[in-house]
Amino acid sequence: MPEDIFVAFSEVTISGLAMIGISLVMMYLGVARKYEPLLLVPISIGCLLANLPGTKIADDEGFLGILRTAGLDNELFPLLMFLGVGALTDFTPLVQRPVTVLLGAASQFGIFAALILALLLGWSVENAGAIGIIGSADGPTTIYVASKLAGEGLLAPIAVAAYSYMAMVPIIQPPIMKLLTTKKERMVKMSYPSKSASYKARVSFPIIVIILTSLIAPEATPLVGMLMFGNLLREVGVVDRLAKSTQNELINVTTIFLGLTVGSTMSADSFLETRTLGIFVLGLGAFAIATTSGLMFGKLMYYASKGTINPLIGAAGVSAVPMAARVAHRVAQDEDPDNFLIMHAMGPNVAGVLGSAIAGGVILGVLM
Amino acid sequence: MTDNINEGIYIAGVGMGLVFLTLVVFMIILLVLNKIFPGEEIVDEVDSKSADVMESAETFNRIDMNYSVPADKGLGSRIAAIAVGMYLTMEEDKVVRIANASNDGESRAWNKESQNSFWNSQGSRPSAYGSRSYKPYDPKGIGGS
Repeated sequence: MPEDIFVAFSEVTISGLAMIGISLVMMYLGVARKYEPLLLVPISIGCLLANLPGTKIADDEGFLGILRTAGLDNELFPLLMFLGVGALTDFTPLVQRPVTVLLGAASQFGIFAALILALLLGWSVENAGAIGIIGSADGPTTIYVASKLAGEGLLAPIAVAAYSYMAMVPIIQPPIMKLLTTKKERMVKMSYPSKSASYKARVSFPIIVIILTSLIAPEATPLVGMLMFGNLLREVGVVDRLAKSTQNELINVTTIFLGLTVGSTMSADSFLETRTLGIFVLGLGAFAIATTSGLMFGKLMYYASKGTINPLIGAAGVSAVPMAARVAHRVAQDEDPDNFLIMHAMGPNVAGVLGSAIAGGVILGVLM
Repeated sequence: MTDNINEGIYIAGVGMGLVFLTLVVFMIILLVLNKIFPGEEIVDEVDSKSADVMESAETFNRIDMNYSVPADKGLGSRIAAIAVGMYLTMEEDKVVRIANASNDGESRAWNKESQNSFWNSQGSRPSAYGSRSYKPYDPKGIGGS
């Protein structure tokens, strides 16, 4: 009888303790440093619960296992997250200045460059695709694609790397932005659109996007469909209750479940390996290349527009909404405090969300 | 290995091509939508206010500030003169405030409205533990300590 009570002590391992330590570090980063706390806090608790000795919470019969089967293995949670993201995203800056959509496309090069780098390092094509998607800087897209492509035990490090780098966008992007642009380029003040976005345009856009995506990139339809459905709820103006529910209750509940289940996949066997370090390095490379490609396209647009477009908004093409747009705004303000770039940067930023979902769909379409 | 690299390059080429194609189509759709359903002209409220303010300022400058009430006038005239003086002082404050506000790009109507809409709509993160403000429990909702 006493040995049954103290059975947990006999199951304590060094690797298990290391994972508990990692969960506590993530908790610290989320709570004290405010690095993506909405995700890192549930992920860290999921990791802690899954690695407690003797509990078996994360086994298939445990409650975390049941949650994982119900929402992560079948990609339900990322899709519900995207519904909430759509309801929270304002596409108005994109509707008012459609040309900025190109910057959202250019930034997706980070995904494919990281994929090629992963292949060069010897990863399989499927795993390389799952790692490359970190460059989308989009949590739900990353988890959606990685949960379909990643090999055993790779989902957790990929998800944690994605959210960690999204939290570090204000640290990763500014040095690259300052390195690749001149002071004169950073000081460009962009003009404002002369017309507002009409109600009919804002309502028509999500519907048309859903239909066109299903024709051009069918594998991206679940992600883009949920994103645009959420946005339609927001814009249509007659379903305020549903819009508010998706913006608050639905996305919050899903965030808890998604974080817990992703954290529960962080077992010592799969996480404490050198390949995890490789995933983090490749993820950082993907972010840096995505920022660089967006900036370079921004410079192209700067010259094409005869200096009327600030190339910094190109860096906002990575889809970390709204963090990347804020970073572009702040870097511009470092040069000129009177330069307000935030709304101009939101166009490429929301285009990046669309672009990354489509890139994820294309990777799935080619590799599955 | 080489096959894998070739496949990677192929995926990158096809992927970027499809991403650009799709988003260019979206851009065209947006341009067409803006043509079919044009939005309203954005009126720069501050600029129009500035015009009014400048008009007020000109009126203000035309007034003889050295005007003094003749000693032989009654109390009513003195009160009226004081009231006019107070009004002009308040107007002067307004001119300075609005003129200062219109000096930078931030005051543009689109910029301000869009920023407000953006900050109000993109959700917010909770305050970090330790920087939250807690109110004491007040079961009757009567406030006070």
